[in-house]
Amino acid sequence: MRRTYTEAEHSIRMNRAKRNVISLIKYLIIITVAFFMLYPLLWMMGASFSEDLLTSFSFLPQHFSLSGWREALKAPGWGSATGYSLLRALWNTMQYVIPEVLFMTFSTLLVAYVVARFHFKGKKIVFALIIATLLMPATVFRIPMFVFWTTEPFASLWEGSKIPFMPFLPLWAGGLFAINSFSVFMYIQFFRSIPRDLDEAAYIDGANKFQVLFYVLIPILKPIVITVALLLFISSFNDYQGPLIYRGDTDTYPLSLVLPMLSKDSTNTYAHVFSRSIVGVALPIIIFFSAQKYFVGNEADTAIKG
Amino acid sequence: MVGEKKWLPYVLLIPWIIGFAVFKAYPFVNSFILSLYEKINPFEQRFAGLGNYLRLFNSDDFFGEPFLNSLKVTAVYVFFTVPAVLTVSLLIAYVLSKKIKGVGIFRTAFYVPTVLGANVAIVLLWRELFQQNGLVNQGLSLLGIDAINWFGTSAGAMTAIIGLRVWQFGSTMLIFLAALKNVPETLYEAATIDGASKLKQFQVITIPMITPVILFNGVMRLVEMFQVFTGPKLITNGGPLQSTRMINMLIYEVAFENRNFNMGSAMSWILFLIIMVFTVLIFRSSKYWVHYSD
Repeated sequence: MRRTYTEAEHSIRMNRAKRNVISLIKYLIIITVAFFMLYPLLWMMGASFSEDLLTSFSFLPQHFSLSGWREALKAPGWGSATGYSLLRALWNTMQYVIPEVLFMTFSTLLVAYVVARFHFKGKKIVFALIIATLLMPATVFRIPMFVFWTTEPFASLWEGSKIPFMPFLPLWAGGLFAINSFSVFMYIQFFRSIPRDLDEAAYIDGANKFQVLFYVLIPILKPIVITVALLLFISSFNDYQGPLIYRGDTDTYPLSLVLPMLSKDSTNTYAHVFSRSIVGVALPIIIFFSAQKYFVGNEADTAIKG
Repeated sequence: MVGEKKWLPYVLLIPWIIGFAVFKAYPFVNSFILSLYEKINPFEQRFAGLGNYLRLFNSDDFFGEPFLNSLKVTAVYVFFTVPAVLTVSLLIAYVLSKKIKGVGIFRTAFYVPTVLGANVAIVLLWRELFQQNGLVNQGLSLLGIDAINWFGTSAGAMTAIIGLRVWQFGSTMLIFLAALKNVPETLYEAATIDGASKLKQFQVITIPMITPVILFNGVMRLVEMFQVFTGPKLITNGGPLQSTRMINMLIYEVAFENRNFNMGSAMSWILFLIIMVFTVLIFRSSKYWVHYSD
């Protein structure tokens, strides 16, 4: 009797020790990875307050200085000889980000609703085309689209336009036409996860298709709508190749074109470069953290369903 | 539905139909047509059949030489980034899927680089991190490793660019995390009773259960990586000696800087065909390794 007891106790103790080791390894892995994830950003913060380049691994500046930030916040000019204003660049960026996010979020929602909830001839073809374009490289569309946008009558819509948002038309026009297959695909997967009984119940109460969408489905879909909007915001805000191809006068340059031109040189210290960089990424970070409770995880849940 | 209007779905789809025609079908066909012509001067082009394609595969040609190089370089980039992103994100997702304190904080921390990573400001930061006296070399010196001239060698430059992409494993990780949560806990319990080790459980339960998601992530990343642009463009601008000059950068230079839409389109089509061949092969192979539970 006595022997078996100690043996059992021993094995419990062993298991507990083993479990502790495993959980130690787990934390070790994720803390190390988290360090690699965040330290460069922390270092950038430190460098923006430093008089010269940080020459040690530490992110704390040897010579603390606010000069980078003071000059960075000056507009126009931003302490650079070239005279770009970062605030104007930010506004230029927003002139395609806002319409793109606004239009694309809802146009793709509508298409997904139709594909997921209507019965009609050709539905399978529409779905197949959405999937096919999801996997098609954007590169193959880029050159003819450039020819399209630089040929009349479309060129005069945006080239040199003085109307807000219009100089950036080629970057957001697709939003009006639900061309982002990934958003459509995400919405469709989510619609499929909502039981049709909910729709049916509303129909019995006399609702029509639109009322069902607005009063029944969209409230349930709120997290995914926010997720899609956030993903569209991030990709549009960070886009570099699009603005590069469709660039106009220098005063219409968005952040992604202005920042590379203001790199370290005789008039720009590292503090200048990095404080501007932080201004450049502030908006996506603020928006990400404010929408985060809806966001993290949802993108994922969607993608795997179906 | 009784009384449902038959035409309603088609009316609602009108914007999408226009969008598909103008932004997808038209440019798709037109880029192929463009690729069959040869640019003579800014105002004239003439039919060349597959001439552009033949030139691109001739290593002595003005366009063929950099193109074949860019194919090789892009292949190296894809070959390393896709498996690296999948492995890191699956490993982290697996750890996070277990009961862990502060899971939300870690998930957010791992996602922040993905929110920012493609941003020009961060790409420029990356370039500074890998300078001779940058953060990376400072870190290595703490470990007693000599400073590396990252942008002086092709392997170093490629490593810096690959590193930037692997750093942004966040969205792939989230997709894996959701998939892992859907693996029934009972499977692990049964395996534990049978005495299977954690590693064994990972091999025979976790991996097979999430193969559909590995397929999804793999294909999406592959399509993405073949088109890499911002990182190499701003970090190395293709250097040293063209060793990081990716296909998409070359297409940009040829088509948009030198205004040779014909040659640029031919390059895009080859890229498209390569991606398509890989995608089809992966889907074909999926019946041997992807398990669908329902």
